[in-house]
Amino acid sequence: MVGVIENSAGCSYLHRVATIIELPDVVREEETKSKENLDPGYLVICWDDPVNLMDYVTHAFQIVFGWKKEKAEFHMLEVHEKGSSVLARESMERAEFYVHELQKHQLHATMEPAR
Amino acid sequence: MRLVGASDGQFVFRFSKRERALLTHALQMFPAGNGPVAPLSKGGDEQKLAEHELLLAEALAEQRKEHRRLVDAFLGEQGRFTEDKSGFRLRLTTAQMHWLLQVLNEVRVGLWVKLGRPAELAPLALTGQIESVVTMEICALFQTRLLAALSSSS
Repeated sequence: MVGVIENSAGCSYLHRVATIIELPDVVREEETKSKENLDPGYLVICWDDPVNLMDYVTHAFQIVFGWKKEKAEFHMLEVHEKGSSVLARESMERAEFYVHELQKHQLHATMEPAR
Repeated sequence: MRLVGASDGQFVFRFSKRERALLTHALQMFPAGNGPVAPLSKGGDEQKLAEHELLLAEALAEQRKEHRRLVDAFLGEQGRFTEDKSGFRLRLTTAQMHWLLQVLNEVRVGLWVKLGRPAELAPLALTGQIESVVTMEICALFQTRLLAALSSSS
């Protein structure tokens, strides 16, 4: 570092000042939580019913999740053919939000604890 | 009901007089349900989720109230349907299409719940439930036309 230092006679001269910066010790924790202790969250599931139109279910998935038509259709067909489809795995708050939005479209959607 | 034009998020449909009356009938049935169509969770901790079940019911009640307001405005607006030689024209925005779809589906699903969630509708027509079954089919018809219009524009 180059600094300007003034002496008692009022003269100034360039003076090199060495600066030593002490970095704090970094302690790296190898592991904070085991996988078993992490919150597994909730699964957002849509269940089959005989009343909602297939195209409407696809439309609702697109609106709620912002999915492209192909992905929405994939999950709609899974609901239709297998009886249910896992649409998302989320925190409790986020899963609850999605279930609200799906049920506002009258879809049979629930949130189930992930194991 | 036939799509005759779509551009810049605006859709124009042509309706016959009969179709207009049927759409009005279906919308006047709203709301047909009065609660969630399913619980918030099937396998979650009931005590932990009890408060959240209430929140779901409140959110749905709030939405029904807002949709009722939109339906009343829709049906009450002068000039909503403009008459021409072959029937009526109805102009809708994309946003109006979305809430109309939700309203029609609420009527369809709400009637289905009232009928006891049957697996098949046809047998109910023979047991004195024909009015509800026909209304559900009317809703499905308009939903199909609205969805086809949205799909063709995207």
